[in-house]
Order: sequence, then C-alpha cells, then structure tokens
Amino acid sequence: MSDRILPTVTDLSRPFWEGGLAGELRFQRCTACGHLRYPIDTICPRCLDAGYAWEAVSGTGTILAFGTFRRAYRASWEDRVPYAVAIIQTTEGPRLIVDVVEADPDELHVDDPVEFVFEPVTEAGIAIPHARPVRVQGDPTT
Amino acid sequence: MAWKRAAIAGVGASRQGKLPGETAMSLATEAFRDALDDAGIAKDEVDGLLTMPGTTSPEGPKHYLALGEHLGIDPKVTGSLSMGGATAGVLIQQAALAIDAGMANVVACVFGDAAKTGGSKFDASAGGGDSWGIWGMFGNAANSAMGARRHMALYGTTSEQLGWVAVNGRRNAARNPLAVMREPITIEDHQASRPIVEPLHLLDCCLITDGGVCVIVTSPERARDAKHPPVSIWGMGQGHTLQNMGTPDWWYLPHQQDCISRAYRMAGVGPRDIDVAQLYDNFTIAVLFWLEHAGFVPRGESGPFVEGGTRIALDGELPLNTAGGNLSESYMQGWLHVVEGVRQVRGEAGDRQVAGAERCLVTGRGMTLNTASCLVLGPDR
Repeated sequence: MSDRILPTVTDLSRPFWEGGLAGELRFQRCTACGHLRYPIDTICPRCLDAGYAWEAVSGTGTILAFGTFRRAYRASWEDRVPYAVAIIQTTEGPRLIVDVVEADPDELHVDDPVEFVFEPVTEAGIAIPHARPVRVQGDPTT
Repeated sequence: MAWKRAAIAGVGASRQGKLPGETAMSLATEAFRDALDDAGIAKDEVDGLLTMPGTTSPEGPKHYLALGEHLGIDPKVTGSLSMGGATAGVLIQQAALAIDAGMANVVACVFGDAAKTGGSKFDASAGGGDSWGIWGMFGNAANSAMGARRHMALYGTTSEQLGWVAVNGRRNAARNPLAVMREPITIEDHQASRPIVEPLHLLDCCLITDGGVCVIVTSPERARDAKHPPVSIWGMGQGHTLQNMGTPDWWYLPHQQDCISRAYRMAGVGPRDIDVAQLYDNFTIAVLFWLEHAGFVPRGESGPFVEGGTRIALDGELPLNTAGGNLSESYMQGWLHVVEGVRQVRGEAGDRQVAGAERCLVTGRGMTLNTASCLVLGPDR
C-alpha cells in the first residue's frame, strides 16, 4: 500500500482536480467582486460572497521560492529525490505550492518561468498539477 | 512614553532535554513552582492562568482546565491558546491587558511539553486542507527553506551566514547551565551537517526537547514587592497574516515588521534603543528576517551583519539569543526567549550577561510563519 497522500476530493473541490484531466489549471472567480482565488473555499475571502464560477487560467507562472528535498520523508517519494517543492506565483495572481517535475533541482532558480502539467490518477478520476520549467527557446542552457 | 502598565515578576523553567517519565503536565508544574519561587509569590495569590498546550498535551484547547485542576487554582481569568511560537508573547500580552483592566492581579502563563520523550513528529505533511504532502512537502523546515532560498537569490545571503546564527546560539548556550546543546560548533560543522530541506541543514534547525516554562505577570505595584526587581513591559505587538500567501510581498513576512513597529511605538523606542534581542529561531533564517523586520539592518543586509559572528556576540553591538535559543538552549517554542529577556534586563544572566543590558526585544512566530508576537522589556523606572 503506497503511503502517497492523495487529495480528498469533495463536491467543492472536484472541478479543480478534474480540470487537470482536461489539461486545465482552474481557480474560482468570485461572481460578486471578480477576485480570483486559491485555495478553494466556499466564500470569497475579499468580499465574503458565496457566488463563484470555475475558470481555466493560463497554467503559467514563476517560482517565487523553492526548497530541495534530498531525503524522502515518505516511501512513496523515494524514487523522486532529489526534488524541489516550490511556491508558484501564477500569472493570474494566486500562489500555490506544488512540486517541480522534469527538472534537476540544482538547475532551478528563483523567478524561473514554469508551466503546469497534470498527472492523471486514474483510479481517483482526477489529475494532480505539478510545475515544470519552461524551456526558453534559443537558450542553449535550458 | 513606554507603556509599563504590567510587569514580569517571576520566570521559571523546568529541567530541559530528554526527560523520560515526565509529561507535559509534570513539566509545566515544575516550571510553575520555579516561577513562583523566583517571584517570591505564593500560589494562592495567582488569580489568572493562561496556558499553551504542548504537542503532547492530550487536553487540547481544554488544557487550562486540566492544568488549573492539577495546580488547584480558581482563576479570575483563564484560557488556552495555540499560536505556535507566537503564543508565549500573545499570552503574556493577554495577561498584561487583564491586569491593566483590573480583571486579575497575578497571572501565570504556562507551557509544558514532552515532545522529545513523547516522540512528537515535526515531519508531518505541512499545510491545511488539501495537504501540501500531496506535493511532497513535508516537515516544518520547508517553508523556512523557501524563504531562505528567496532571501539568498535576491540579496546574496549565504548558507555560511546562516551558520553564524547557529554558531552564535551554541556559543551562548555553552554559558547557560540550562541549555541542552553546549558542545561548541563551527561553520565547518554547520556546512557539513546533513541537508534537511535545502538550503537548510540540520544545524539550521531547532531542537526537539522536553521541558516547561512559566512567566508570572502582575501589576507594576505588586512586582515592586516581589523578590527581584520588576521587568516592565514597555511595549507589545502582534502581526499576523491569515490570507494563504495572498498578500503582496508575502514571502518577506511583512506582518512581522508590523508586529515590531507596533511594539516600538507603544514602548516609545526604536531599534537603536534595544540593547539585547531574543529573536525566535525555529530556523536560522528566521533570525535574519527578524533583524531586518526590527530595523536593526536595512532590508537584505542581515547576512553580512551576522557574518563572522562578532556583531551578534555577547560583547557585540547587538547580542542575540544570549541563552542559545531554540537552536541550542531548548525548543520551548519561544517561552525561554522571554525568560532570558527577563534575566538579561535583571542583570542576572551570569557568564552570559550583556553589560548594561536594559532594553530587550523578544520575538516569536508560528503556525507556518503566519503568526507573530513581540515584547519590549525594560526596567521599571
């Protein structure tokens, strides 16, 4: 039995986790004040209105900060070390914490551009978002 | 003008370290006794009890009830609060306000934990709700590691500079009989210690220990009749960010800056007036942020300030964490920082006494860097 932690999908959060199956990073937008929010919640933390609509965003951003794990604190992460976990500043505003895939953590830098990729978890009917560095065209070092 | 409308009359600590057979309750009790003895105040005079449950306290938010029953107190004011490393400061503030309002006269603020013996895990998956463990983020060090990384990227701060905070704490702990870790360490030891979450190494991280601490807060008048000269609360502040990393410049923790500004204003002082500081050090990087937030150095300049360890030494321009802090004295989540602040202002810190120390800044923070509190302590006059 894997000790991997999977999200608890609720009626509230399902559109976020299912969005990945469509290749979309989705946030809630408040229908009253227009504030785009994450984490997922029942009301808008800016105006307290309960109305919202899910909206697909660009799925791009930058690495605000990151930490590098060289040791696995769970068995399910052993084949991933070393890996980086980053706070992503999304282009549209919300910040979220995800791991960085397809990257050597020693090659990462603060403020590097990233894009979101989605890992389907078939049995759960969802996809988990991860960040991956954006390869800059014409730059031989990337 | 400094506030000075409440004072600390007594501080107490239990033994610290790995203490098999002890519990959060027994250690809190040991500290309570020690603090009453330090104050020269009888238990029957205690009419307020404010507590912080330890990680091994089974009572949770009803901790005050269990401890009050155990100690046999009918308080006029009581309650428990869990704000991580900010709790000590916040509870002392609540005690001071209750005293100033005439709701109580002698308030015991108490904490105890058997985190080491009880095997408390601090490597739990971080974050609430949809846990960050989904993305492999484990342990309390991760958030601080991220802050350190950005500080390094923007300001050129180095791991060696962080190491000087650890070396300084250990150097001071060697002069503190209560301290758990007293073996000297070098920058080389720091660099060679294993990575926890990079850029943080093992020696960037606080200890996990058993122990208890108690602080007795009372009126200025009552404190003047206690065993030791009163240590007055000149100013106090809080600052919190509860918006899920949503505020501008969040990573720099501007709420900690606000917290200290508020206390300075209340105390009528500024950074130049502070003689000694006990800055919450769950991780070394925390101290660098505090140095900037408290205005001791401009933004981004804390790394060079601590480098070499001379400015922050006991005989330096700003002696820091003079008892060893969470890194080397004991991980009492900031409670011992208050105790050391009181000892320095009283001038009773022995081998580690800072000459002429009168005004001390004590800071605390917790809950994944979301809460912060601070006190400016000084003489009664």
